Amino acid sequence: MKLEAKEISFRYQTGSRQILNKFSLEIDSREQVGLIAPSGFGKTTFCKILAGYERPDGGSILLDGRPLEEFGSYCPVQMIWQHPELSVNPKRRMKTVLEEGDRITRDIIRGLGIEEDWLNRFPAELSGGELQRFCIARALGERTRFLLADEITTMLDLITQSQIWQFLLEETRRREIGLLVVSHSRPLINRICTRKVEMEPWT
Amino acid sequence: MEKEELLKVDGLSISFRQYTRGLRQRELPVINDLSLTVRAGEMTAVVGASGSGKSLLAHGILGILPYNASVSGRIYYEGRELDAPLRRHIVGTEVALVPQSVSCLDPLMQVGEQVRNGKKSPSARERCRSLLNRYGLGKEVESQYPFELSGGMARRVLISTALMETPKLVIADEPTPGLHLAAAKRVLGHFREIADQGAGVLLITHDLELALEVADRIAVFYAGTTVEEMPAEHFQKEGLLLHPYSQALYRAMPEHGFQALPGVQPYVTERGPGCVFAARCPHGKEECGKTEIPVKETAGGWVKCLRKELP
Amino acid sequence: MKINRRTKTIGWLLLSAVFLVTVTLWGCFWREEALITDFSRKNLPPCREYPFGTDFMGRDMFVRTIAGLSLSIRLGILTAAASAVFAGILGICGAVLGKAADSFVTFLIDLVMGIPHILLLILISYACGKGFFGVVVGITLTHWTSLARLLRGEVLQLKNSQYIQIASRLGMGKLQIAAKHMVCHLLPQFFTGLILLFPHAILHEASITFLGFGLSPEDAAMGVILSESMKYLATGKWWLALFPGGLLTITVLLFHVLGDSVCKLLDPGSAHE
Repeated sequence: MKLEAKEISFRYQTGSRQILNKFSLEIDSREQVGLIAPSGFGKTTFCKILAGYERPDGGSILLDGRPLEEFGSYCPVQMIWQHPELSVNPKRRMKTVLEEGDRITRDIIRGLGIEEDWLNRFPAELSGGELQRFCIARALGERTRFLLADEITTMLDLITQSQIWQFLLEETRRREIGLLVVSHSRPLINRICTRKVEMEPWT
Repeated sequence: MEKEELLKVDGLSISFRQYTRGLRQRELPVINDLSLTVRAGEMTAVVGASGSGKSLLAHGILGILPYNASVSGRIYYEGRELDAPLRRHIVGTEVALVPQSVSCLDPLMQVGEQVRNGKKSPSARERCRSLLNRYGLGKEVESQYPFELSGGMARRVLISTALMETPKLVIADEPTPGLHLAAAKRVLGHFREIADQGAGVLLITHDLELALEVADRIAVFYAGTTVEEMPAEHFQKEGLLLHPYSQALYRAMPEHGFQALPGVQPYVTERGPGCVFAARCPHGKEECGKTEIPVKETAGGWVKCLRKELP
Repeated sequence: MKINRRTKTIGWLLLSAVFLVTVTLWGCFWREEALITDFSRKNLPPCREYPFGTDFMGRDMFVRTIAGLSLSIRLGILTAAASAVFAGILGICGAVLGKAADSFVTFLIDLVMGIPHILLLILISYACGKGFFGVVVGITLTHWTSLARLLRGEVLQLKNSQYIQIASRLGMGKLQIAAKHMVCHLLPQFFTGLILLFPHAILHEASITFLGFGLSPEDAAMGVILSESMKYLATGKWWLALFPGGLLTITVLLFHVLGDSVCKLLDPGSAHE
C-alpha cells in the first residue's frame, strides 16, 4: 500500500506566508521514512494535511490511489502529536482515551508498558511519557495503515524514547504500517528509518 | 583550580498541598533531597525528563513558587544562606531567570523598553543596544513588539533582558524547545559565552545530547531528585558514569546502542524512602529501596548509590 | 482538624443553601396568612409579637416578607433556569451550526445587551400583559446573554482543541464528541452561571414590580411590599422598608455566596488552597 502526497501547497490564510509549495512525498507501508527540516518549514502542517486535519490549497493526498476522504470516518492515516498533554481531554479518565477509535488490543497496551492502574487516573496524574504511550496506543487501531510521528519523543528522556521506538518499530513492521518519523535528531532517524527525506526551503 | 562556588543547593525538597478526595489534603513531594552546585564561570546542566519537576527547581531558587508549595533544605548563594531578605536583594540584579516560554514577554511593550526594564538613562540605552547588537538584533528590533519576532529572536530578546543588569548567576529554564537544532545550538552557545565571561549558568533541560555539548557539569535528575553530579566529559565513556541511571541513559542514546530499560519513573506518591531508581536498577538490592542513600564524593562530583564497587 | 479552605467553602455553601430552602418552603406555607388583614393591629412598630411590625392594613410584615421572599426565590429559580437553558441552546448552536448561525446569535446577544436592561424588561413584561407571566418572560428573555456568550466562547475553544480534532479523525461523530468531550467542560460553567443568575433575576423582579410593571398588587411580592412602604416612610413607619429590604439584600448576597462557592469547588485553579 502506498501513501502519496502530490505537489502539496498550503498557506493558513490568503495573504499570509506560504508554508508548503508543491511538496511531494511517497511512503510505502513497508518502510520507515525520516523527515528532517528546520522548524517553521511546515513539518507539522504537512503531517496535518497527510492525516486529513487540514485541506491543502493545491495538490492531493492519495492512499492506494484513492483520495483520503473515501475511507470513511476513521482516517487510516493517523498522526501522533508532539505534546501528549494537549492530545487528551484533561477532564476524562485515561481508559476513555483508548475507547475513542478502534478497539485497542491487550498486546498493544502491554507492549507500550501501560499499567493497569493508570487507566483510572486523570491526565494530570501522569507524566508526559506515560501520556504519550496512551496517545500512541490510541493511534494503533486495526484500521490504521500509516502512522505519522511528529516529534513524539522530543520532550521525553532517552530511556523512555528508546522504549517507545522499539515497540513502535516492531509493531509497525509486523502489521506493515508505514511510518513517517519527524524529528530534529539525526542519530534517532539514522537509527530507526529506512529512508531519509530532507525538506528543502522552497524559496 | 577549583572555581568559587556561586550557588549550592543542598537537600532541597519542594512539596505541594493537594486535595485528594473530598476534604482530605495530602502533601505531594515533587522534589525531594535535590543537591547541585554552580561555580562562577561554569555551566551546570540539570538534565531530566520533562514533567518531572525540574522547572520547580528554578522557581524554588528564585522564591516564586505557588501558594500551596512548601520548601525545605538549604540553598547557599556565595556562601551565604539564601533567605528572603537576601533573595530580595539579589533576584533580578545578580540572579536572572531566562524563562521557559517566549510568552513571558509583555506583548504590549516594545522590545527595547522591555530589555531596559523601564530605565531611560543614556547608559541603560547604550547597554541595551550593545546587548541586542551582540545577539545579532539590529536597531530596528528595539522598537518592535514581541509578535513581530520569530521564535529564535524572541529567545535572544529574553536572554538580553536577563543580562541587562550583568548578573552573576543566570538560570535558564528549558531555553530550547520549539527551536530547530541549529537555532537551539546557537542559543546554548550564547549561554556558554555568558559562562565564559565569568558568570555561573544553571541550565535546566530535558535534552541530554545538547547539554553535553555546552555544559561543564551535568546533574542527572530522576524522579524528583539528583542522583549524580559529574563533569560533562564523563559522558564520553560509560565507565566513568557511576550511577546506574546515568549508565542507562548513556546506553539509550541512539548512537550508543539505543537500549531501552523496562519500567517507568515512579509516580510522586510511589517513591519510597530509598533510591528512586531501585525498582529499575540492574544492580538493585533489597536495601536500596528502603534505606536513605548517603552522598558519596567521587572524582569531580558525587553520586547517590549504595554499590560497593564504586571507586 | 485544621479547617482548610475547601471545608470553609462547603460550610458557606451549606449555610446559604439551608437558609434559602427554609425561606422558600416557609413562605409557601404562609401564602394565605400573608394576606390576613386585621385593623385592630395596624401600624404597630416592631415588637415581640410582630418582629417586623405591621402595616396600614394590619398585616404581619414578617409573614409578608417571608412569603414575598419565597415568591421571589421561586420566580428566580424558574426564570434563571429558563434563561440558562435558553443561553445554553443559543450559545451552543452559535458555536456548532456554522458561520451564519453564529453571526445571528452574536447579533442577538449584541441587540439584547445594547438596550438598557430594565427598559427592555419593562417593555417585554408590559407586552406580555404584566403579572407573573409577563415577569417570567421578561426576565428570561433579558438575562441569557452573558452566559450564552460564555458558553459560545467555550465551545469554540473546545472545537479547536487538539484532542477534539484527534477524536474526529478517529471516527467519533459530532454528537459523540459533544457528549463525551464537551459536556464535561460545559456543565460546571453552566451551573455556576445558572446560580449567579438568581440574584439578578430576583432583583429585577423586585424592581419592575416596584415600578408597577410586574406582579399584581394583591400578591405578597417584594416589589409590592417595598413600593407600598414608600408611601408611609415619610410618616415615620421605617420598619416597613428596612426589614423587607434588608432581608432581600441578604437573600441576594447568599445566592452570590452559593454561586461563588460552587465556582470555587469546580475551578481547578484555586482548588488546592
